[in-house]
Parts: sequence; C-alpha cells; structure tokens
Amino acid sequence: MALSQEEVGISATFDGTDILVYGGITLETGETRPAGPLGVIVTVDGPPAIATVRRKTSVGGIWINSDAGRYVPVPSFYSVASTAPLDRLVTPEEDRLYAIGIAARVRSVTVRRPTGEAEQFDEALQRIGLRDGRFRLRPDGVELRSGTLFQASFSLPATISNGDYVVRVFLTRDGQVIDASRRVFAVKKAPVERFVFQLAKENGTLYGVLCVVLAVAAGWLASVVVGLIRKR
Amino acid sequence: MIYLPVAEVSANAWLLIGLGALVGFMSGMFGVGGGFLLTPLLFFVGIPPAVAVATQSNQIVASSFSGALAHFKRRTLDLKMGAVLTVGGLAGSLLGVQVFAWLSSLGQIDLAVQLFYVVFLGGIGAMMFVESARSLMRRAPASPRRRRSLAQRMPLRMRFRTSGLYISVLPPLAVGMLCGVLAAIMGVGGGFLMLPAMIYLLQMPTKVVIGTSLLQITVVAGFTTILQARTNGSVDIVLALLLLLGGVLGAQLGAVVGAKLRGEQLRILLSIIVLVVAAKVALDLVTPPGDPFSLEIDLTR
Repeated sequence: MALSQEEVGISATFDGTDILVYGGITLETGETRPAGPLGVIVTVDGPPAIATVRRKTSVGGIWINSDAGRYVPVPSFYSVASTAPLDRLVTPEEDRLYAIGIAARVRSVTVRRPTGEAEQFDEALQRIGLRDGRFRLRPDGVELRSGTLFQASFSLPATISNGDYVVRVFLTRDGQVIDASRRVFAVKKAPVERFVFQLAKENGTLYGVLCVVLAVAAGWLASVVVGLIRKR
Repeated sequence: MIYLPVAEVSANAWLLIGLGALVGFMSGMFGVGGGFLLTPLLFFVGIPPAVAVATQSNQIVASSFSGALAHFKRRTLDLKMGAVLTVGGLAGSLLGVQVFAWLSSLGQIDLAVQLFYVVFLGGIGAMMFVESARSLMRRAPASPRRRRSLAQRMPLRMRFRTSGLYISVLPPLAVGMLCGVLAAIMGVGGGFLMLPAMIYLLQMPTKVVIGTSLLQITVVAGFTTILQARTNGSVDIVLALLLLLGGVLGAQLGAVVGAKLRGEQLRILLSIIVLVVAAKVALDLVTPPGDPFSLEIDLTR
C-alpha cells in the first residue's frame, strides 16, 4: 500500500487537498477454499478529539442547551471508502472488531452520559458529523482494477486539523477481514504558520502585545494616509 | 482563500476585509467599536467562536484608534474625560473577565451572553430611538439647560474643558467601569453602552462623545486583547490583519460621513442598527432550532 503524499503542508493559501491511496493485492497461492469476491475498504482517521453533543430544549419559551454528552476519543475526521456497501463486505461482528463503519469507529468511551435518551445523542453525533463532512462514507470510493490493484482518492477539506492521519486498508472476503495494513501521513503547518501558532499558544502575553502594537500602528497609518489624500 | 494559523481554518480574504470595512465605517461614524455586530458576523463566516471574540477585540483597537485620531484632529475628543473613563473601563474589564470565567464554569455562558445582548442592546436601542426620534420631530436641540445633574453635585469635581462640563469624576468612573464589565462578558468594546451613558447621564455634547468613547474603547479593547491572548491564546493575527485592513479605512470614511450628519440623526441610525441586532438575537432564543442537537469537536492536544 502506498500514499500519494507522505506529508501535507498547510500554508497561507491552503484550500484542502486530495490524497491517493493505492496498492496491490497478493493472493496466496494454493488457495483451495471456494473463494467469494474480494472486497477492499480504506479508511482515513484524523487526529483524536473530544466530541460534545448538546441538546437544546425549550425552557419557558427560550431554547437553551439543557443536556450534553461527551465522547472521547472521536476522530476529528473519518472517511471510509469501499468497493461495495460495508454491510455486504463485513459482518457486524467484524465491523465492530476492527471499528470500520462510522458507528463502530465513533462508538468510543463516553466520559459524560447525557441524562436523557443516550441513543439519540449517539445518533446525533454521527448524523451531524456526516452532515458537516467530518465523517464520510463512500461505498463506491475504492476502485478495484483487474482484481488485484486498488486505488482510493480522499479529499481533505480546508478545515482539517493538523496532526497524524492514519490510513487503514482492509481486505475482505465472505464477510471476514482476511488482511489489514496501516500507514500514517502527517498534516503539518508550513514554517511561518507553525511559528505564529506556537507563539500564540506558548507566549501569549508577548503575542498579545504584538497584536495590539500592530493594530495601533495600522490605525495610525490609515489616519495618516487619509489625511494626505484629503489635503490634496 | 487564506489560511488562518490560530483559528486553523481557511476563509475568504476579501470577505474578511469587507466585513472589517463595514464595521470600521460604523465605528468611525457612530463611535462604537462595532463588536456587537462583528462577533456574530464572524461566527456566520465559520470562524470558531473563541477566536472570533478574541480577535475582534484586536480589530477594534485598530479601527477605534484610527477613528479616535480623526476626531482628535477635529478637536472632538475630550482627552481628560477619556482618561477617566478608561481608568474605570480597565477596572471593569478585569472584573468582567472574572464574571465570564464564573459563568463559563456554570456551563451557561452562551445563554448569558445572548440574554445580555437582548436586554442591553434592546433596552438602550429603544431608549435612544425614542429620544432621538423625539428630538428630530421637534427639530430643535433637546433643552440644553437642564437642572443641575447629580454629577454636578457630587464631590471630586473636575473641569472637562472640551466637553464644557464641571462635574464629579465618580459618574464617569462608574460609567467606564460598568461598560468594562459588560464589554468583557459580551465580548464587545462597549461603545453602544457608553455613548448613551455619556449623552444622558454625563450630558456631554454628542460631537465630543464619539471621539472620547473611541479613545476609551481603544485602550480597553487593547487590554482585553492582551488578556485574551494570555489566557486563551485565541487571537489570530492573520485574521486581525485582514479585518483591520478594512476596518481602519472604513473608520476614516465613517468619521467623515458622520461629521456631515446631525447628532440626532446619528443616534437614530445607531439605535435602529442596535435594535435590529437585539431583535435577531431575541428571535434566535425563542425560535425552535432546526436541529435541537449540536456537535462541537475539540482536538485532544
């Protein structure tokens, strides 16, 4: 298995990117069992995150957040591509075991159970994730050529977080995972962006003063420029 | 599209410059920082709330300072009054940050902010609207000689030459402080609160009020920016630069346009904008949301 990019750099003009996952399938020789068709599933996991699902209810006519569930760890981005719908490639047991489908992957340790109906919160996490493009499911996202070569293209949106991304490839047959492999690629900020980010997080006071000085300078400059224009 | 390093999202640069210019124009014209308008607009564009609140205070520094300079040159800025208001504002801002932390720990900061918006924007907007509409109808300045105000009878009196006032420093200190507290909680500069307070409570002339409030906002917003950068690290310098690029030019233009309008006209315009924003927030509170569930993702670093 290979990736088109081992590292994705986020610079000032970053507007999302595509990553291509491709590879070949080596069939074991001397296989005697009557073999069903092969299936390939490729998943991409973003850096882990804390997910908070809140529910609004009407209290005295005003809609307020009244209940919340918190899930850790949830991938900040999760995209699944396969050669066919997942339920045709793996059994529910295999899906859970390898945490392949969105429900299986997102089903994680819950740090805070909501007081109300918990299933509705679990369902909302997946539904909103899918709606926002944070979780993606493409049952025809993997292309299988001449039975042994596969490739899948994943588009990473402009809003992706930096960190390590894990690519997993599963080979399935008759509902069972017969082979699995994994690769990691990094999404990193370009040097200037990384420097700004680190300064902001690690030396906040200096950074804050810098921002204010810059703002005052800009205000003064604008005043001078407009003054010059009006004098003419 | 440009990548914002602290917000960690990409956004349209021209859109951000445009938003900055719009808010800067209002800032120079009315003497408000414009935060009450910019913060919701930034949410709408997709900037994370924490970054939007912190960064817009930095943009306010630039546009308010630019506007204050323009007023200073036209001698419509009371430096002494500005200094007194600023002292109160800084104290209030420190206090407000504590209240903000307390409300956050209760988990209802969003609701608190929205209710503050509705109550204060709505109340002040309505008050200003009624008053300025009344004085516009009369087509004459509202009774310039009023009875001796409380401010004139309290101790520690000081002469504010530019404003033509001889009043106690206590009311301006209190006004500055109250605005500082509310500003910190609502994540705004507080101009829309201070303007009416200066006009109705301190009885300062409208023309002087704008420049003076801009001066106070510049300092208090600068202070807030540093506090935010220190405690949350959520000020995005690239976002701030884009916003202030538009903001400073808008502010200069606003000050020029504002000078051509009468005080009552300015106040009625501002009151209408304030009322619209308050109505929008109030409507959001009572309208059933399209999806009662919401999802928030925070990276575990």
